[in-house]
Amino acid sequence: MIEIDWYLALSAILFTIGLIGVLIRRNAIVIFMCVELMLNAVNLSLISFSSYHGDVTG
Amino acid sequence: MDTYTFIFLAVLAIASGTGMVLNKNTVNSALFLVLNMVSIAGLYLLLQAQFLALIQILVYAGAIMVLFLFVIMLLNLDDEKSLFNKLRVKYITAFLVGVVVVSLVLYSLEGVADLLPEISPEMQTAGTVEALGNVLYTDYLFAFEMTAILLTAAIVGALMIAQFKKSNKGASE
Repeated sequence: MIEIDWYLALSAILFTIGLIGVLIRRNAIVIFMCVELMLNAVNLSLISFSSYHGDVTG
Repeated sequence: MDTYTFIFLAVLAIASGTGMVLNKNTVNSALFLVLNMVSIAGLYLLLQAQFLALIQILVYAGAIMVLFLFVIMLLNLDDEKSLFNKLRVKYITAFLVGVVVVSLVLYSLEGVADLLPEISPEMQTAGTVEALGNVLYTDYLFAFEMTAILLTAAIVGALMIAQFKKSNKGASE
């Protein structure tokens, strides 16, 4: 198994990419897509916590 | 094997996310987002969350991306031609904010990394549909039902708005 740190770091990097996208793009649809990217990054960190605690509720 | 798969999927996710933000063409951005969603679904599979991986593919890569592509094609959005023509304050600020956020999060990760418990083999079944449904329909039933009511209200509201505009136009003619 990979350490949980790597998943959390990946989640942080994806969240930051989404944040930068929200800040620099002007197109509303692209901003929504960047928000989706941020939501997915948070989902990834929640699921990695859940998987590493062995508990569905995280 | 797990490590190589993780590295491959992580690099794919980061590359497609960067491509989505930097691409000038909106449709290309949407397709990069699909690639990103699929690689994140692969990461869910690595984390033993099979049900969520399936849902990620079905809902995000299927439904939401089709919605985005429909909106892009119906609205006929132009490309952002002047995305990187000038080095503006906005881009520098965005880059600095990104650096600050990622360094803060990575720094705070270092503090909590030692607190996590060890995993036992019987914990590996946490991501199955059975375990998820068990929790969802007992402990979190209220939140589940509230989400259902919220989604129903959103659908009814969208229908009402569409109906109202149509009948309003009909009355004025």
